[in-house]
Amino acid sequence: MATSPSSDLDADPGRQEDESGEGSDRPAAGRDLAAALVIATFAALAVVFSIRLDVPGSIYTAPGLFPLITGATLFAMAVTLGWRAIRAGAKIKVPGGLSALRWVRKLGWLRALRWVRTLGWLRTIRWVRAFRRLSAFGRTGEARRTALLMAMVTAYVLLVGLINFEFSLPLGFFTARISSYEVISVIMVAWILRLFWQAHPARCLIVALVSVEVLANIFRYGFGIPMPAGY
Amino acid sequence: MEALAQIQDQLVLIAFDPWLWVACLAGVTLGILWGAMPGLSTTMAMTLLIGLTVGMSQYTAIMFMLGVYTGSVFGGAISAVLVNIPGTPDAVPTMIEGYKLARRGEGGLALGTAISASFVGNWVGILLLIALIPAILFLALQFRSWEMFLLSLWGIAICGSMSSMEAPIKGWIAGWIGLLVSFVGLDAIHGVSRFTFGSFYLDDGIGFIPVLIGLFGVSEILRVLPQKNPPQIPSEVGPVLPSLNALIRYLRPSFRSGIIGTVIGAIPGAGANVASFFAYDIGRRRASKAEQAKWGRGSYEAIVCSEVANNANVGGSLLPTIALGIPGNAAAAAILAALQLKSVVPGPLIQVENPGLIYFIYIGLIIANFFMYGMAIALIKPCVKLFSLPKTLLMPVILPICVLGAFAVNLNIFDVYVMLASGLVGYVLHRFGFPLAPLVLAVILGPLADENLRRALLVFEDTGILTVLWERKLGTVLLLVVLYTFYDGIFRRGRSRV
Repeated sequence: MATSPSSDLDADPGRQEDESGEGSDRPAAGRDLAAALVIATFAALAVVFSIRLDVPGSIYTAPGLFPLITGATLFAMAVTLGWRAIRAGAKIKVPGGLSALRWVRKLGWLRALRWVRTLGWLRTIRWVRAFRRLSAFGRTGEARRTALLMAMVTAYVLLVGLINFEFSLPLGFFTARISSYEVISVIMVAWILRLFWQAHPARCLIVALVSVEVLANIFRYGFGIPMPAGY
Repeated sequence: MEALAQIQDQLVLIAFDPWLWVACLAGVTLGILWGAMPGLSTTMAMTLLIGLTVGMSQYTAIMFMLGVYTGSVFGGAISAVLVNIPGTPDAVPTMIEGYKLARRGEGGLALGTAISASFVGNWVGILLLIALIPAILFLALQFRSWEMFLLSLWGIAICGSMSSMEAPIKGWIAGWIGLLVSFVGLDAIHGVSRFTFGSFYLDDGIGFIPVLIGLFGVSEILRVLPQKNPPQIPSEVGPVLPSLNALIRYLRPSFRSGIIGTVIGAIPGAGANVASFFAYDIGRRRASKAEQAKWGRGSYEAIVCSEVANNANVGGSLLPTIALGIPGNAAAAAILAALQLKSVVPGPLIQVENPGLIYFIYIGLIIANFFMYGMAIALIKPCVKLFSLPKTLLMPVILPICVLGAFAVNLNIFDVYVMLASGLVGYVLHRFGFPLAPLVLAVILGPLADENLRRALLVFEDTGILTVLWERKLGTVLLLVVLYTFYDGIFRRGRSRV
């Protein structure tokens, strides 16, 4: 299981495996707090953009009405999630090693707000510690493999979108067609198979070639769907 | 007497035309295979396979399309149970339960239960279609804008509660994120661009199929493939068909879920995905304490509820399609298109203009149901063998299917980028413990909810909200049900954990 990416948040040590629900991990309260912060920001942005939308007719049919309600309720839910995470033990670490609530209590609300407003935190935030945590995340085998796979899948999709060609091979009674999608798919699938399945390269290539060609020809000739190509 | 004579004529016609049987079997087989491919929905199967009916006769084409419809609705369960990627959106509850059973080596029995439930579901849908046309149409026609909005909201709320059992707030957050995603694009009433940031590609909105494929297909690949010991499905199929005792035990939930599926199918706009989640939720509430404990951890009864409902939805969705010419859902719209392609205009005059055709459709559905059962049973063992291959071999091969599936919807490469983005977001959300099912359902139901809320508010402006609440009893009941769902999530289940 991967550790949490770098953040100024403490993970809940009580995290454990859980088979309930859709996921298999019970997320730490720290993760809930981090998620709550991101979602609250997203919801706040949605509210702002909803308010800025034009209102061509009645306020009741305003295009931003339901997005506004949705954004506001999502914000409230994120705050609830964050609050409950703090109550469950999640802490936002601030310089000095204090939890956010203790820090605010110690400093006083007004001084804490002034500190945030004057960007004093930019100077004192522990960049080195953050970097160390990120490195620790990258050192676990699964995290590294996940990052690599993400990069490969992203590259695959981008290549399918950007490269566009199609060869025709006249074979007497039949003209075979090979598109850029097939070429890119065979190469990328064979590469992913080589890295994760770890079979002989020739075996990976044959599996990739057969699976991609069967699929492409079912779609092309069976359903009449052209292959993906760039703009 | 006239009806009996028409039924007899249709039976003779079908019995002596082997092409009708061949077309139905071909449709069912194609439908099951299509539905089993991750993300390829029933609607897509129907719309793309309409092209094959152009050269067929009227009856053969109808038989073929009914076969595709019946087969593809079930097909979604295959990949849901065996690879944790739902073939169709309505197979998500089946995925939540079935994959856990498959990991325990009970994949064959889970699929067998899904097949039997689908068979029963189709029967319930067909019988209710025949018997309750007037009553169900009356109920369906009570659903106006306000009720449709509440129904959509209820669907998302229930899905959130159900897929994140101990932390409903996380399910609702996922649903609400999905709602915000669904708002992207031109709004349906004024044509104002929402959240497009000037992008031409976002004007058409974000389609739910690429989001579905990304969230369940790509994120599953990203999650499973890098694991040192990815979860493996045992290749031993074991017993496939559930025992007679089990079938009798599930009779009550089957009948209940069948009615839910049919009624929701009859409501224009509400699809099988809403039906399967409703039946899943109500099934849990009505189950015994021992069975409730299994819910979310691999429950056969949950599979029965979900599969019966989404298959009963087939019959239900054909109700308004045939009787009113209003399709019950997008897949039924494809049936409507196929009928119109063959010069049949569904609606109140269908019995006058095409006497007996309505009975032909009933009989066609019954035959398609039997074919679906037979083909599905025949396909279980090969499917379990195929999907029990090492995940490190299977997952990379699924990746090009995901790309093609996302592209095939609109033949637009932008959808493939949406799929990728959804996959990455889905991976992160899953890591943070958020369920993905409510997000997909919200992307599907968001536009429906948005449009209907604004229409309803216009009515409220004229008549006043209290008058509406008093006069529209069904809406008020639905409102109370929605509020109860949130109350139940916050104060009952949400108390134990966040």
